[in-house]
This record gives sequence, structure tokens and C-alpha cells, in this order.
Amino acid sequence: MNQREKSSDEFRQKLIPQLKGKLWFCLEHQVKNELPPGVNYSPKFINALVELTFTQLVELGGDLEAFARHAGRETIVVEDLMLMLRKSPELQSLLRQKLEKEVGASGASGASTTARSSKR
Amino acid sequence: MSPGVSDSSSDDELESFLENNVNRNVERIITRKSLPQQRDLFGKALPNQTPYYEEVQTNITYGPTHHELNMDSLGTYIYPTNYEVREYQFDIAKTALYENVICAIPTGTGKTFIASTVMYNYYRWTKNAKIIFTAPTRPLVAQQIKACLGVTGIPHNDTAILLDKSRKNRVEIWASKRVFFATPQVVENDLKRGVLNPKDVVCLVIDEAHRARGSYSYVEITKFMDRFNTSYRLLALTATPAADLDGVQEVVENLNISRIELRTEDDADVSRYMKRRDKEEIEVGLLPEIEDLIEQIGLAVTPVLKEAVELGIYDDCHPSQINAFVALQKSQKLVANPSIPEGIKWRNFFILQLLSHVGHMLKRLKIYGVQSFYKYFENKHKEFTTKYGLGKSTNKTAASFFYNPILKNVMKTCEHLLADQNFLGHDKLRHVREELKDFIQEYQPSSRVIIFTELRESALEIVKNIDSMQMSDLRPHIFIGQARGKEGFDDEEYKRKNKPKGRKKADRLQRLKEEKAREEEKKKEKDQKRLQRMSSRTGTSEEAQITGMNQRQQKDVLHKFKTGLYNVLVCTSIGEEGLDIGEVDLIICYDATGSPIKNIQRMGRTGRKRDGKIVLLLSGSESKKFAQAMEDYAELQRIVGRNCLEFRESDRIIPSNINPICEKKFISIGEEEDELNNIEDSDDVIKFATQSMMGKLDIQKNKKTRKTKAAKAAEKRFFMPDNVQTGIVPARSMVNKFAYDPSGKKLKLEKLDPPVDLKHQVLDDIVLESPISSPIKPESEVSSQLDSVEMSSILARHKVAAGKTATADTEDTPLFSDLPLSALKRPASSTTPANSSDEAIPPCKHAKIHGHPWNSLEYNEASIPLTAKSQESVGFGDVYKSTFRAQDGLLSTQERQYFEDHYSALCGVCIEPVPDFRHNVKTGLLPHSAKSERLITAFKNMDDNTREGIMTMSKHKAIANRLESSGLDHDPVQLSLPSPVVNNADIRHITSGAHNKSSYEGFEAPLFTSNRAEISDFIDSDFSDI
Repeated sequence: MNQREKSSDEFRQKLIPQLKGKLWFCLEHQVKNELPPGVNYSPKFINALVELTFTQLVELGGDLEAFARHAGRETIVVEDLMLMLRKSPELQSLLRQKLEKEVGASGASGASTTARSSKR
Repeated sequence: MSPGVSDSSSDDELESFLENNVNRNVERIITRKSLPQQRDLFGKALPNQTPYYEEVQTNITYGPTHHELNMDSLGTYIYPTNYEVREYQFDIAKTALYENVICAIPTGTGKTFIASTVMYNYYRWTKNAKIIFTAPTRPLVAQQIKACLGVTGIPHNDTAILLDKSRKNRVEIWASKRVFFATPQVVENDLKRGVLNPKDVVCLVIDEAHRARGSYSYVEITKFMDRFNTSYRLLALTATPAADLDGVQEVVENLNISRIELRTEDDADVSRYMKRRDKEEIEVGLLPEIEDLIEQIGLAVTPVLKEAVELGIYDDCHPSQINAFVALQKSQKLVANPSIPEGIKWRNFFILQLLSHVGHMLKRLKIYGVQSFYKYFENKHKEFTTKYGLGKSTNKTAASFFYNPILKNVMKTCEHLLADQNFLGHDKLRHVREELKDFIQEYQPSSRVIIFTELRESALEIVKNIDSMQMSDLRPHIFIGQARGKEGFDDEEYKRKNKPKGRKKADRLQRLKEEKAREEEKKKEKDQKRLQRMSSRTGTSEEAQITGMNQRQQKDVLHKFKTGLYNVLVCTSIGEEGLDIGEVDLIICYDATGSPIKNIQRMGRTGRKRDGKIVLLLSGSESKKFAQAMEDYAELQRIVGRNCLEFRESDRIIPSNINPICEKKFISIGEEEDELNNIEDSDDVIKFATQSMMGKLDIQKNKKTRKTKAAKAAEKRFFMPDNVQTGIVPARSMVNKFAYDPSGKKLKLEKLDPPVDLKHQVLDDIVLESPISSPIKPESEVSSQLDSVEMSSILARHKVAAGKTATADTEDTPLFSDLPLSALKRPASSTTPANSSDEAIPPCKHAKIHGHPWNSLEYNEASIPLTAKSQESVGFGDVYKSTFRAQDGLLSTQERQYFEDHYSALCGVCIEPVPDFRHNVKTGLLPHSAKSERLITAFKNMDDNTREGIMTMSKHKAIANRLESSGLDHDPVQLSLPSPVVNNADIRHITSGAHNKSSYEGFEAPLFTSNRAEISDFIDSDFSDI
């Protein structure tokens, strides 16, 4: 048990910066696109955004995981996300639309997001 | 918050300091109720809001009086029946005995009688307390002396009269007498000089109390007295409390009045005793000549007025309606306004000034007649034309007015009119003549007339006019104040002064010579004029009009008026108050004033001993003004009667269990006192009273005082409230003092702070306000008593000990082990007052924790019961030990003893400038949600800008850069990620085995492992492969 925890710790040490880096990349792109021309941002700002988003995502992942576990599944499915978003119906409907498109494309009926955020 | 509290408490202290020593107890209950506050997004209250409102409830109670009372006579009070008993007098006198009363009853209804009854009873009730009557004028004082000595028979050798500061041995007089008649200025002066002890006064009567406003002596006297003595009766007499409700309230506040006894002429019980006063208002039209003049002046001033209206500095109106007062006000406002450029300002000012002059001219024309108008007009005209002619004035607007050809015509008409003997300056004069004619026929020769006017010139004109009636039964005289009359503008003098001066010596000498000659000439001229005046019958009046009348002259005239040498008195406002001449049967008000007090006082001069008649001559807008003033006053009386004033509780002085019974009795008066009743003239009364007062004093003490006077020139005394510490008190002695009793317990000697529950109080405050100010109670003694060396050593040991516990102790869960290490742990669960400060706590911080008021409160509670159990000591000898277990605190018994001796919950010291409130606030005990906590730490780390933080940041950035540089120039959002969607078939369900474990950890682990490969792939991918 100890052994495993240790290794998972190490793993986490490596994993988190990687994840954060990718998040950075995505966010920076998005920020660049969204900002009107001539407006600059500091790396600190992106850093803060990364921290925020990361925390939020971890939280989200934890919740989704818990929901899935509660339903007796190991895989997170759409219903979990919808449950998560039960308080923002607009987002729900938006996601549903997107999902339908995607499902139409891939032909799969059930969906689950991979547990990218399953570790904290 | 807390500094504010302590501030106000020290103020209260100061106040109570003063008030404890008089017998008035003021109990003030303040209920503070919170108000909703506007808050910003961060939950901070916006500034400048009061978070509460206060309901103040004041209870005033009085202790027993300090005056020595005459218990024998307390059972009764005496009401003299020397005069007819009037119900209202009886009622008022009765209430005035027990309460501070304003007695507002019409003129001539016997206020003085009420006053003397009250004074007499206080004279009887007390053994040696002093009774003071104050009135602003001599005649009023004389009147009261007569009433007091003549009616109630207060023995004359117990009374004193102090009318001016000239009397030398006032110290003795104040000490030896009991009843005083004085002017307020004398009383004020002697109180402040320390000659009169305010504690001795038991009864203070104030006549003409409507003057008790602002900083008049009356106000100063009561203010001064209140600091030392609240056990005195105050009786305020007036006919007219004030012109408006605010004024009445001010008087009530200044004099500590608890009741107003108000009677009007319409009240049944008063009117029964009132002499009849017929009031006749005569509307006087303007003479055609005057109207003509007004029109002409209006024509002349029209261009100026038009200019003023165009400039927006004066409201448009008919030129004949120009109001001097309005113009004056506007010009004053203009001058006071700093935002107007100087040039415009002064041009406008001169226009308004001119309008104001014109307004005056019109007013004089309308109300007083041609003569006073012409005098004023001529003066102004001469002044301006001379100045303008000399080039000293370049005021073109004024020039356009004064050089207007119409004005020449005006002057001509005026001169023509005035030259005409038969022309009366105003129609009012005709009415005056008629009234006087009727009067002579109707009344007996002892009768008198008073005519009131506001202007001296007009008074003189009236006198001359009456004189010109050539009736021997009418003997008029003027009666005015002592100020010198204004001299008209002397154009010759002005021209001469402004003549170019020669520089040579000869020139100067010649000028001096000329001046001398001129002065002599002037003197001669004056003398001649005076002689001329003397030869005419109204000479003294004319003379007086120019020079004013000094007190002696005034007295002289009044005397002659009383004896009948004059029977018509033409007064300015000086005659309005307090002239008590019983035989005045006719009052003629030549003009009306806007002040109800003045009007009432004027009318109050008649109807005193027999019925009288009042004639009001009103012209122009005067009738409106008069009606308005009287209407306002009647309204005021109604309001005051409706009891909407805020009164003050007053001391009853007489013990509340004693209710004196009224004893109506005719007081037989001693011979000497009776003599007073026969003296009519006020000065004689004063003279007589003074003599009788000084009589014994002079004989007995004259020699003595004369010798000793030089030796002890009445040293100045300072009166202090009772129980006051005198001398110099060091501040050190004013803070809390402690002593140790044998058992080592600390005792506070004095000035114990109120035993408030500091903890809760402070908590409440913090919840209400933002925790900016610290609730530090200055507590010097405790900390200073701690030997600094001792303290630091103890603290150092604390640290070491604490550190050791943390590392060494493993088996027993150490109670304090997490104290220095738990940097970020909240004390929510632990009962110990763990603090949040990091490892490097400086010693003083420790001190703060232990000494902190509420912390130590908790600490004491928590730690004391744990003490005695384990006694093992390893490292530090007997006193200190190195290992601690759950049961014992950080301290050995000795240490704890020491601690308990030196710290108390109430007097802790906070050395840290900004105490950490979070641990002591209710909200501080609630932990954040895990997410917020994480965010907070994340941002805190970012804020800290540590090297590590920067490094991780750049690491992330580097990864991002790598991703970018790996040839991805398209938007990552657009990237089609490998679809994370899994097929339904792939949905894994939790295996029963995993389910059984049901522990989080057990669950996560397999999930984790199973996914690991996947995840590592994901990590290694850099989107490039997508």
C-alpha cells in the first residue's frame, strides 16, 4: 500500500505539471483569440487562469467520479455530467446539442468523458 | 470601535465628575439599535454610515438639597393678602415654589407680586441661603424692591442692592445679606470673580427673561451656577417669552425651565383684572404731495432699477416699492460671494447701495413724512455731489440718479413744503394732533401720553409739531437713548480736507491757523445755535436729539414726566420696556414694528393702573406688517400652550414628603418698609433701600474696613464643586493600581473597569464593523511588573519546549505539539488557543497570545484543570521541563502559578499592532470548502511570488510553448481530440469486490492503476500526434 502510494505520488508529481502546461496552452490560445487586438496579458494572468481552471476541473472530475460511483459505474457517462450541471439548464441544453452532433458523427449512443481529472 | 467607546466613556466620566457633586442625578439610558448597512461586493461596510441609531432616554432625579432648611416653617407657605388675591397669581406662585417656571403673563398684571411671594417663602424656608432678583434696568429693580419690602416685609437689613460695579465692599455685602436686588451683569461678574458662592443661592428671579438668549448675562449666570449648584429655584418673568418657538425653547433650555405658565389677555382669569385697553388702528393715507414726491423719485430711479433688474441683482418691481432692507441684504450677500469678479461685484454693489438708499427715502416718505425724508435725502445728495464734484467718486449710476433733473424739482418741492408753516410732513401728524386734542378734552390733567416712533428725527418732528399746536396743556419732550446723533455730511469740511495741500512750511502754518480759526468759528456757531434752541420751547428736545440723552438726563425727563412738567413723551425704542407709570392713558404708535415683542411692550405701557387707549397710526404696508406680527405671536402663544416644548426637570428643593400648606395672611409691614410704599420715584426707592441697607453696615464696619481694605484686597476665590481633588495629580496615579494580597492574588485598588464581558463585546463590535481597530485596553502596570529578563527567558523556554514536544512526543498525542507547526490549520476543532502564526514566532507574539484578553480567558479555563497531573521534569531542572503530555500544558506548576498571578483575562496586553481576529470571530471558526481553500492557497502562493512559484509557472509556460512550437498553428479548440466517447458496451461497472471495499482509497487504487497506462500516454502526447 505504501509502495503504491509512493509511486502514485511520484506519478502525480509528473502528471500535474504536464496537465497544467497543456491547460496553459489551451487557455493562452483562447485568451489570444478572445481578446480585442492591442490588449496584452501577463503570464501571471494566464498562470492564475490555469490555477483556477485546474482547480475547477479537479473538482469537476471528483464530482463526476463520485456520481458515477454512486450509480455503480466505473465509467463516467453523460448523465453524470448532466447531473453535475443540474443548476445550469442552458449549459445543459448546449452540451446536449453538441453531444447529438458528436454522437451522430461517431455513431455511439452512450458517452463518457475520460477521467482526465480523476487524480488529484 | 473601541477607541471610540473609551473616548465617550471618558467624556461621561468628566461629566459625571461635574454632576456628581451637585444634587442632580442624570441617568441616561441609551438604547442602540443596529441599522442595515450598505455593503460593497466584498462584504465591507461602505464608509460614512452609522451602523446604529440611538434612543436616548434621560431620567433626572434630584438628591436632597444642600441648603439648610427651616424645618419649622416648611409646613406652610405664606401668600400675602395685602392686595386682592388673584387666582392666576395664586396658581402661578404655587407652581413657582416647586418648579422652575417661566411666568409669561401680560404686562401690568402683577409679575412682581408673584416674584416677591416666591422670594419671601424661600426666605422663610431656608436659614441662610441667598435669594437674588435680577432685572436689566434700574426702574425694574426699584419696582421689585418696593414690592418685596413693601408687600412681603422681608426685613430691609437682610436685603442688598447691587446695581453697578462701583460698590466697594461687595464681598461683605454678599456675605452678610440674604436678599439681593441686582443687575445680571453684577451677579455674573461676582460669580466669576468668586465673590458670590454659587452654592449659597437658593432662589434666582429673572425679570424680562426673554433676554436670556445667546450669551446674555442671564445665560452666563445659570450656566455658571449649574456647575456647582442644581438646587436652586429659578423664576423667570416676562410678558413675551420670545418671538418664535425656537426662541422660547432656547430660553427654556438656557434657564432649565420645567414649566411655562402662560396667560394671555384673552384668558378669563387674567382679563378680569386687566385694565381695559382700547386699541384703535388708524389707516393713514398718503398726502397728495407725498405721493407726488414718491412718483418723482420713482421716475428718477427707474433707469437704475432697470439696470439692476437686467443684471439680475434685484427683482423687478414698481419703483415706488423698492425695499431698502431687501437691497441691503442682497448687497451683503453679493459682497460675501467670492466667486464674482471684483469689478462686476463692486459695480453691482453700488447699484444695490443706491437702491437701498432710495428704499430708505421712500420708507421715510411713506411712514414718517416729508421732513425726515428731506433730511436724509439732502444729506445723501450733498454727500454724493460733493464727492463726485471733487472727482473722488466715479459712480456713474449714482450720478445718473443724483444729477437727474427731476430731483432738482423734488428738492424744490420739499423746500417749498417745509417752508410752509401749515404743511404737516405727514398725515399721521394731523392724526396725532387730533388725538391729542381729544385727549385733552377727555382726560384729567394728571394723565400722560406716550408716543412711540423708531426714528429720532421723527421724534423731534413730532415734538416740534405738538409744540406748534400752541396748546399749553400739551407739554411734549423727547426721550431717547444716550448715543450721539449722527452728524450730517459736512461738505465744507470734506472739501477742505481733500483740497490739494501745500508743501511749504508757510502753507502748513497757514493751514493750521485757518483750522484753528475755523474751529473757533464753529464753536461759536454751535453755541449760538444752542442758545437759539434753548430759547425755543422745545429746545431741550432738539438739543437731546443731537447729543443723545445720558442716564441723568433720562432720569430727569422721566421725573418731570411723572410730576407732570411734561405730559407727552415721545420715545424711541428705549421707552418700550419696563417703564411703569400708572397714569399713561394714551399710547400713540407713530409707526409699527415687525416685532411682536416690541409691539406688545409698547402697548403694555398703558392700562397699568387704569384703562388706557392705544392708537396705531399705520400707513402703507405697515398695517399688514403689524397684523402679521401679532398673528404670529398669537399663534406662538397657542403653540406654547399646547405643550410642545422640551422642558427640563427641576429640583423641588423642599423634601418631597413635605407639602407646605398655603397660609393666606395679611402681612404687617415694619415702619421703614412701609415708608417705601409711599415713595413713587424709582431712584428714590433705590436710594432709600440702599441707605437702609448700608445703614448698619456703615456704622459698624466703616472704620474697620477702611483700615483693612488695603491689607486684604479681597483675594480671588475659586469655587470648586464638592469632593474635587485639588492640587497636582500625576497621570500615573490615575491609571489602574494593583496590590498583592498575601496569597499573591492581585487586587485592583480603584477605578475598576466596568466588568463587561470583553470577549463578547468585542466580538459584537467586530461583527458589526470591519476589524480594523484593535480592542486594546491600555494596560501598563501588568506588563511593566513583569521583569523583562524573566519574561524573555520564560518565553525562550516555551519555544524550545514546544519544539521538543513536537518532535519527541509520539505516543501521547501531544496537546500542544501542533502549536508551532500548524501554520495553516484552523483552530476550529481544537480547544486550545493555537495561533496561526508560522514557526518563527517572535517571543513577543507568544506574550500576546497568552496575554490576549480573550485568548487567555480560554487559556485559563482550558489549562488550569489540566495542571497537577504529571510532574515529571526532564530537561530544565525543577522549574522547566522538556516533555509535555496531553494532560499538562506547557507550564510547570511554578510557571503556571506565575502566569496566573500576572495575567488576568481582563487586562491582557496586545503587543502586536494588528491582532489576528480570525481566530476569535465566529466566522473565523468555519473552514472554507475544500475548493475555496485550495484556490486561496493557490493564489496566496502566487501572491507570495516565491521562487518555487515562479519556477512552476515558467515550467507550465515552457510546456505550453513546446506545444505551440511543435508546429501547431491552428487553434487547439478546433482540434479534434480523440473522441473520449466510449461505447455503451465499454461502460465498466464496479466489480463486486471493489464495491465491498467501499472505502475511498480502496476504490481509487484499482481505478488508478487500470488507467495508468492510458494516462501516461496522454501525458506524453503533445497533440502533435493528433
